[in-house]
Amino acid sequence: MQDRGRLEPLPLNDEEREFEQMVTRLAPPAPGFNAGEIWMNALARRQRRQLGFWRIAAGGLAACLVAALWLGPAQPTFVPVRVVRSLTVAAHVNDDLTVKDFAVPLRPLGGRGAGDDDDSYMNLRQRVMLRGLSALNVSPQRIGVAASVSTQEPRIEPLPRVEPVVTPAAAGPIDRFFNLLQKGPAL
Amino acid sequence: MIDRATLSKLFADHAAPLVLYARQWLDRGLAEDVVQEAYIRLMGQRKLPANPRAWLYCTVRNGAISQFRAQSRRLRREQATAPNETWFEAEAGQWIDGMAARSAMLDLPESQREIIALRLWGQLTLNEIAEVTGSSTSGVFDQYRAGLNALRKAMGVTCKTEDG
Repeated sequence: MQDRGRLEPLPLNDEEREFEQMVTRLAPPAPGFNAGEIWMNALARRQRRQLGFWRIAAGGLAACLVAALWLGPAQPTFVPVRVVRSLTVAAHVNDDLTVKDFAVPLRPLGGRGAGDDDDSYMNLRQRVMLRGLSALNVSPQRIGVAASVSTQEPRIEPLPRVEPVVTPAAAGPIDRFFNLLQKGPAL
Repeated sequence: MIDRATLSKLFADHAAPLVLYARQWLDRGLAEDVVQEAYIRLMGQRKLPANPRAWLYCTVRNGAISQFRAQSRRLRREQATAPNETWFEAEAGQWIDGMAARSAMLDLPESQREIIALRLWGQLTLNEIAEVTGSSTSGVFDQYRAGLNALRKAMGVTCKTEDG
């Protein structure tokens, strides 16, 4: 307890000063807590404050991460594409929609060996659909699958005239295909 | 953070007068809570205030007034009429009755009571009291003198003299 009676001297009369000294002797009771409790409470509060700080920091970082993922630049989208050259189909169709002749020059597919992929099958299938099973007898050159390493413009070869195997009633490719299948053994 | 030795010294010097000061507005339990909170806040300061005594009294004053305003009217009435609460220790051979002093203090206007508590038991200077209460030094002196005389008159019948 600090020393009592060390009051700042004031211009008071004797009675007032005496009464002041008398009243000062009344001592307030000691509080129900001590310095140790205050020290412990202060430490606990400090720890809570630090914990709160780190929680806020972690929350802020998490929010920034979510925002960066949400608002950041979009990842480049890779769409698998395959550059193919269009087939030039020369079709001569007469007035009654009977297919007379087809010339299907096939251009090389970039960099890949002919016959190594499904295109060979598709080319062959297409020829069969157009020309019948006789197309199976032609050489690979005649099928039109050029060497994959060739960069030259494929030469359009005139195909031999074949009898139309597709009737006007089955002009669709699927119908013609099934028509061919049905007539296959007869051919 | 302030070291423990400084805290111990500040506690020993000012804790009891601070509780007495806070009891101008609050009952004992709440007054101790306010004082404890003030010390904890002092410990949270990066460096010791220039005048820690005035800082403590100012903080306790703000906390006590805030608590007082937060209390309901019923609690204030109960607190004001609590008969058995003592403000001072009963010491043998004491010339002044503590209960009479408390009663006389409660009859004083709040501004005078506060200034008397700050000077007589807090032992603050007039400048420090003016800083805590937000008044001028001369106004503080006038209030103090008026309050001291009113207290002396109120306690005149209960004052004991050395002669008996």
